[in-house]
Parts: sequence; C-alpha cells; structure tokens
Amino acid sequence: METIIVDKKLYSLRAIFGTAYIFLENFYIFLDKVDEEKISIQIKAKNSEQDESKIVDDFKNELINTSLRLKISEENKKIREMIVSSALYGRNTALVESSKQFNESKEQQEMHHTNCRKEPGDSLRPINDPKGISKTWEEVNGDERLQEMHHTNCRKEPGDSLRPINDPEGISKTWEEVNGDERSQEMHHTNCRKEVCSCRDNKILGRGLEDDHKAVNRIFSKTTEVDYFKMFDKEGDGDKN
Amino acid sequence: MEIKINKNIYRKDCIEKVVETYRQLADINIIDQENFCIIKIEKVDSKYKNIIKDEFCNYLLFEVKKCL
Repeated sequence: METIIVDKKLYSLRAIFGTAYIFLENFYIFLDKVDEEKISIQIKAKNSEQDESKIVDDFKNELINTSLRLKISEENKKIREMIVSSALYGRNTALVESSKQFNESKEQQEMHHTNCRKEPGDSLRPINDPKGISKTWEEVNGDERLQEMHHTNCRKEPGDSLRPINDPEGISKTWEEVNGDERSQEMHHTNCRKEVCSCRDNKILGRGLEDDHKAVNRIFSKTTEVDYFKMFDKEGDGDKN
Repeated sequence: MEIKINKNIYRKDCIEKVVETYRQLADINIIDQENFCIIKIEKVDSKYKNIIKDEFCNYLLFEVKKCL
C-alpha cells in the first residue's frame, strides 16, 4: 500500500476525487484527513502484479492534470454558460415568435371566414380593414335600389334591353346596338375584305359626302404634276396657262 | 471489521447509500461520531471477506465523486 499526502491549498477536494476516480478500476483508494489542510490518499493495487510505486507518480501527474482542467473549466464557466444560454434563449425566442405569427395568422383567417359567411347588408366590417377594401361597390357608391338593379342586370340573358348601370361608356353593348341592324353589319364585313373601298360601297354604308371627297383627294394625290396639266390641256400644246 | 470514515471528506448521505447497498452482503452498522462515521461490518460471506472493505471504500469514493 502506498500513501500520498496532498495539500488542500494546492489541490481541491474535487480534483483529488476526480483523480482517484480514474484509478478506481485497478486500485483501491481510500481518503483520510491528516490535519485540517492535508489529505492522505492510500492506494492499494487490486492485483499483486501491479507496481504500486509507479502508480504514485502517475497519480501525482494525473492530479495536476485534473486540477488544471478544473481551473480552466472554472475560468470558462461564464463564457460557457453565456453560449449555452444564448443558444437556448435564441431558440426559445424563435419558437415564441413563430408561435405568435401562427396564432395571428390563424386569427386573421378565422376573422376572414367569419366575414365571408356574413349576409349582404351586414353593417359589421372586419376591424383589420381600415380602407374598406372588402366593401362592395354598392356599399361604397349607391343605395339599395341601385344595388338591386345591378344584381338584376347581372343575371339577365343576352339581348335584354336593360344594361348595368355601372357601364356609362356602353362598353358592354354589342356592335349592332351601336352601329345598326344586322344587314348593315354583314355588308360592312363584306367591304372589309375588299382591297379598294369603292364610293358606291361607301354610300351604301352611309359614310356620307365627306368620305367621297376624301376618296377623290386620294386619287388626285397619286397623279403627277404633268398628268394634272394634261387634264386641262386638251389640245396638247403644252400651254400651262 | 471497522472502517473509520471522515465526514469532512465523504458525505453522510453517500455513506448511508453505500451502506444500504452493501447490507445484502453483510450486517453493517453505522456509528455516527462528531467528525467520523464508523462502519462496522460483520457476518461477511467468506468469499468477500478479503475485499469487502476495499470495495466498500471504492464504491463510497465513486458515490461522493458523483455528488461533487
């Protein structure tokens, strides 16, 4: 059996226990107090083959090693705690924020669905709609009578005389309603396919005198100056006057 | 067989825990004193007679180390 005396001022009790724990597998170790500041470590080999004298040196080296490791651990304790706490805090914050966002979106979705189920004419509006985007046209611009007319016209079949009241430019009118009957429409389409639009067709289409003058001007613009004077020089003597 | 354990080194709760564990191998009594606990081990099986004291101390060291 070997005995080591260790000063508690140099090596803490924790370091001594840590070192002794490493040797527990092959040795019996027992600690006792010599006095207030010194601790005795009794080491006994489990097998008689093991060299006890060598273990004393190994134990002392390991005691320094453990003591230094504990010292570094104490020095880095704050940094270690900060890293761990920031990692945990960041994760918690992310979880809290994501859960908040999830709850908010769920509330908005429920509010939207509640408003969708409301009957027309309900005065209540979603509180998160300050610009009144969800309001209908009728609620913004007209009374109930206009609203009813609008809905009636929306349901009408094609050819009905009533038009939606919100169509001041008549965009929804058919070509026939704007330009004439069916016969004139057919003629118009026939003339559209012609290469040159004749004056006769223009008259038929009822385009009027202005169109005729335009057609004459186009013909004259194509003739050369010489041709123009030829028209007036019937004798062909070249007298331009 | 007696083991004199310093209470300033080994914690009392650890001593009691180890004693409870070893009671199935022998009759063990604790005599509590001011700075020491005296463990009396009797009626030990002959198989463990030579090692029970040392194993008891090792196990006690392990328990105390766990608590530190």
